[in-house]
Amino acid sequence: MKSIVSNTLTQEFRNYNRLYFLVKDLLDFIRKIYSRNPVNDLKKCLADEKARYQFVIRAGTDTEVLWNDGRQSKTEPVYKRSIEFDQNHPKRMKQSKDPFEAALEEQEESPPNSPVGEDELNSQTPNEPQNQTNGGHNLLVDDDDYDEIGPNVKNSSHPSSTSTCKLHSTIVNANVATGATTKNKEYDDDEEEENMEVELSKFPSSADPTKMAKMQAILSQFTEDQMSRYESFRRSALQRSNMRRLLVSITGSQKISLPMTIVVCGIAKMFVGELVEKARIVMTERKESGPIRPCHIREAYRRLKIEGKVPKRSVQRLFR
Amino acid sequence: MSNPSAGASSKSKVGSSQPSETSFKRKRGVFQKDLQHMMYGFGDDPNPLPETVALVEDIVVEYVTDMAHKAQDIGSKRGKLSVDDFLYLIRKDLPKLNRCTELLSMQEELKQARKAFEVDEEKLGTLE
Repeated sequence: MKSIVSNTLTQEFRNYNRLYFLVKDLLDFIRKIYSRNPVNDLKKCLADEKARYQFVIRAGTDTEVLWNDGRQSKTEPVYKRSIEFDQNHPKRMKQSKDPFEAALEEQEESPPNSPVGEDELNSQTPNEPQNQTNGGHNLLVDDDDYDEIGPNVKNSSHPSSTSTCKLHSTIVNANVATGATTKNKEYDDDEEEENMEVELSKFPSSADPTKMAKMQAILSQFTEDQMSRYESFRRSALQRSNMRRLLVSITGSQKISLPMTIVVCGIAKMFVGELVEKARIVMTERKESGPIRPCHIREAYRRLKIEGKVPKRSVQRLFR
Repeated sequence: MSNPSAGASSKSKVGSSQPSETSFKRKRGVFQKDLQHMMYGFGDDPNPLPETVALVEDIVVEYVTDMAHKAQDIGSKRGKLSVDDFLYLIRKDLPKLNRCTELLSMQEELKQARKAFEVDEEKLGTLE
């Protein structure tokens, strides 16, 4: 299981992280739009008084967004950026690609009526917000909770990659306003670890810079093995549908709200963590090694009961 | 005390007095796949033993069952079962409590963001 799991999980974890931060970017952008007057801004872009439109051009590593004024035959720059990466890095030559090339290639595979596929380079502003909402909406439908992204990405890696690239192009346009360029630069990082650490540093642990710096420092030191285990730790979750079914059968009532399911899944996951960690402690005490055996789990469970972390039955279970 | 992990493929629960929509039989291996990844994440082998996974699943289901019953007892005083009943149950366990509040706030945030998207689309509709 490990060899299959670790390769695809690593890849998907990267995608998932990008997805997550792309979604976050988009949400931040939406919020910023909303904090200003949304109607006026959009109108300003869509119905420019000089009847201009915006377009994006890219040449090599430079990207520019400009107003095109047909009447005066001149352009007015709005935003400019160049992506720097090291052309001579061996890893880069082999596998990593320019994110826009990658996005273009992926879009060729995507369904023909996806709005982004047609104009990547010459997107007109009317398409912009549409792409944003389409791509973003597709993503957000799947993501209730950042932990839940895991199973969804696992099952449908292709659609998520196409929606990733939809967001790629829209984020370039979106970044006109936010000017948040740092996140796009991550895709040019060659080192997988660097990628991880930069993306995970933006994680909203508590918006605490010291905590983020600590996380970054720790994550950069991880070995391959540790990274895959951490990945499993973050992404694994009990399925909400199964949990809901279980809760319904226990309580007998159909009205199990979504927050309740989420909370119970979270609690159960932490409980599993406590069990497994205690089982490992039991194993070291007995000086055993290898996979955890049921006897260790039983001992761990017994100790947790003594500590009072397991709810005691009010009614004894007589028959099993 | 605990169930032997090697058991029959289905297990019957002693029926509670409440009628439930689903049958009383509980299938094994409901959480098996997820639990394997989870146990690896928490410190087990990359391939946990199947009997270990089955035992952990039994323990977790029992834990959730007990929690839900206790929450129902608390909730029955109020009338309905709600999230706060579960939060009350884990009030002493600080890591769990913090994690749950974090999950709930994330969910709220995402809900707000989704709403923002929908309103955005509406505005576009009216503009165009």
